[in-house]
Amino acid sequence: MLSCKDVTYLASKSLDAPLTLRQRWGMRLHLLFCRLCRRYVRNLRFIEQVLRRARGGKLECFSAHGKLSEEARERIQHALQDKNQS
Amino acid sequence: MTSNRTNPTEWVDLYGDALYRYVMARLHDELLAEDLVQETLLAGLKARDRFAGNSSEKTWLIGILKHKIVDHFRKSSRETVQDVDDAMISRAADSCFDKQGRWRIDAGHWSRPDKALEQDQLWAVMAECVERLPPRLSRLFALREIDGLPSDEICEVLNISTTNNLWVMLSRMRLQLRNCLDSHWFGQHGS
Repeated sequence: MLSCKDVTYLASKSLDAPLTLRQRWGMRLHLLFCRLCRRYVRNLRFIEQVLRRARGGKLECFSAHGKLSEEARERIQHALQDKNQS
Repeated sequence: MTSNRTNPTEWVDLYGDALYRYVMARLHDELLAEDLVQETLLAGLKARDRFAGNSSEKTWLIGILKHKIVDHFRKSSRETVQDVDDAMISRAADSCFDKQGRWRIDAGHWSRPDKALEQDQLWAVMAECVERLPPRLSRLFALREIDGLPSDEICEVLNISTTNNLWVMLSRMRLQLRNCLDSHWFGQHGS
């Protein structure tokens, strides 16, 4: 019988690679009896959905904060100008 | 001369912020992000003759930046000892289960965010949770969840010895994300 820890691992793996038949059945059986693991599987699916939506949108939405500082802007500008002239 | 090209002196204004955001989404380090943007623009300047002009200049520069980020990941996955990191990550994951592998923690009920505003807030919490991941897991997040790199490439870049180890690390990353979201988002919003 699979433990919750095993099921956590398999639930994640199933997002990246196909599970064996044995793993699938083991997981299904465990989920039948385990409320906490059912919840975990639902949570992972939810996270996947949010990420998929983010990937479909603009790349920038993966970043919360967003501007080069004034100092960096100036420094990079100078570096570019130096190189451009040389 | 293709019309897609602009004068490099305009690059900081035109692309600086977009490139900066692109890096920050993947490695959450302001100084490093600034350095990589600078390196990218200088590399772009040097290789300008090779820019074919069949993509937009921005896409081309982001392509250069992408390589620089992966190179940085590759380098830091080799020069520092990963064992300590990995041991900490494994302890954090193990602490969620008892000796028999049963859950020691529960999660609240996760309700779907229904308003756009709520979705934005959820997104902000998600970004925060990713930022809190240990460096190795946040790199893994960037390569897998943002860029969708194939498993063998991720293993090579992050110096992960087997695909099985990759599955284990991904599983620990998702477990940490789930727990973080549960306490910082659903802890307040769930019923």
